[in-house]
Amino acid sequence: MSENAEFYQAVIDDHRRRPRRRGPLPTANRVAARENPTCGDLCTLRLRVEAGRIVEAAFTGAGCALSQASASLAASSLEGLEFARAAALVAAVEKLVRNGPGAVASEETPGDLAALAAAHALPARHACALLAWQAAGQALQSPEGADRENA
Amino acid sequence: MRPGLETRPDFPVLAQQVNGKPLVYLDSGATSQKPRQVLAAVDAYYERDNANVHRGLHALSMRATEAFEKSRARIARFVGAADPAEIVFTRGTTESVNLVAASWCSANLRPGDEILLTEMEHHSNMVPWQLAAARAGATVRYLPVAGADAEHGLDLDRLDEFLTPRVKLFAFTHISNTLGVVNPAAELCRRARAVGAATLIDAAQSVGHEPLDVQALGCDFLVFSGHKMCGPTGIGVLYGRKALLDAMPPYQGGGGMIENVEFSGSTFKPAPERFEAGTPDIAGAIGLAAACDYIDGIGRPAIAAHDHRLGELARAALEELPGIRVLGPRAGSPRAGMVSFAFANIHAHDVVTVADQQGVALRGGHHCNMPLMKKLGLPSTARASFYLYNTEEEVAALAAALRKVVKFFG
Repeated sequence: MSENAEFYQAVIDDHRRRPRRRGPLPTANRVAARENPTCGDLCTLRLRVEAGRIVEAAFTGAGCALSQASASLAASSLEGLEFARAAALVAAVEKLVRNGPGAVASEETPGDLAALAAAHALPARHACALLAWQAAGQALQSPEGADRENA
Repeated sequence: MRPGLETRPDFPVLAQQVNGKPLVYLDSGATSQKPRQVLAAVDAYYERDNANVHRGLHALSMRATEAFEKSRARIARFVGAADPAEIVFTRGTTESVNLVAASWCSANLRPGDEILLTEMEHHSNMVPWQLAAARAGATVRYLPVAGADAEHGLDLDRLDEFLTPRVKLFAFTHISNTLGVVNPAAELCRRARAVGAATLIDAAQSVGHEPLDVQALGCDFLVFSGHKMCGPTGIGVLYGRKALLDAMPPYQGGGGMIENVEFSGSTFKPAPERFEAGTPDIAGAIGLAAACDYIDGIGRPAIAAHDHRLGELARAALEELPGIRVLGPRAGSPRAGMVSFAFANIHAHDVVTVADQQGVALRGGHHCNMPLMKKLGLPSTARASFYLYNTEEEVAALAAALRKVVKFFG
């Protein structure tokens, strides 16, 4: 198995076993839910945004290891980012998965996020890897408001 | 260990490594591999006889037409049809169902009528009927699949409740691609006839695997694809009783299906040409006939016994794994050569990806039956499906790959 695949497995497995930022976020003021009906993956991403910055992020959902680990990566790496930076990160991850590691500069997807590059080789699973990121993109554009699901 | 069918040298694609491991191809339910004999028949047609059919007066066109019509006759014999004119070439099972749903239903389905399906149908034997029913103001109903206790068979105790005189057509699968359940097709046709309903059998999973005879089954229509039975992709068959086909309006219009065309309107040829507008997949038909020869050279009883044995071995091996749920027939019940399964805490896509790293090709997903998956309470399952080139060693490789899956995700 290649080093890349080992890194991918290690990171994905780590986030699957110990998901970061998984759970409700009662103070959220932005929310987006995405579903992949083909495989039944679900992801709801919740953000608390203050003064143009994501102060907190959390996800709930169910699905394959890749979709849930990717959601863990998304929520944990979006937290603390300013809006513009968060949107750029979502776009960079999408490019990384769809077009491969050569398509983005390494600093655009720092740290563990680089592990998502391994999903590029699995075209049938791009949707799994990107589900949470698409939810994030949607949440960033959603109107601010209380998350009724959390109430 | 009992010998297999000794067919592997006929399948060039199987002799390769995937992810550094010998390929173990267990996805024949999605599409089968093709033997050299089929590939050679297609090549020979393109190298020697290629021309358009039915209208050319030159030597090559006559040869192509003869080969095309001989293929039709060969396929008629393969399914036990009384007349080659009962064989309509289509692109596959899906188009065959759509043809009947569009043409037969437009002439025979009225508001208030019902189409009866079963809950185990593939989307291709579900969505065309939903569309046809919506056009006609008719209703689609579904014979339920019984629970795990009843091994996910059709709930035949409730057949009378569903199969009423309101039902104009009963369409059902011979072998479920999701469950491995083998349905009592002849009995279902008999019961449908008793209430005056026409019948359509989806034989996509059975025709290349089991002995099959449309007259013995007593069906009105039977549909299948070439590519699941050692034939090329892009060719399929609609068998229809001649009397029904000749009474049906055209499906698509174009060349090859007309008798006479005027600016004011046209008249149409009888079946099968009426339903074959445009240049057909000539090479595909020839390849499919070669697949019939190949399969009958081995013998469908032998293939069925082989597939069932591997399916049963796989079921037994998989049930040993912790946290697994195997769908469909249990030990001692008839099971087609496939096993669908789900782990309690491992998604099917993860199962398939890790198995692929071991060279084992599985299918994972909803198997084109989203409503059934919902009913079973599963987002998806993984499936291993077997065919005449698979071996007992490959069942062992499957079990070993799944043990790695359990270890990795456990």
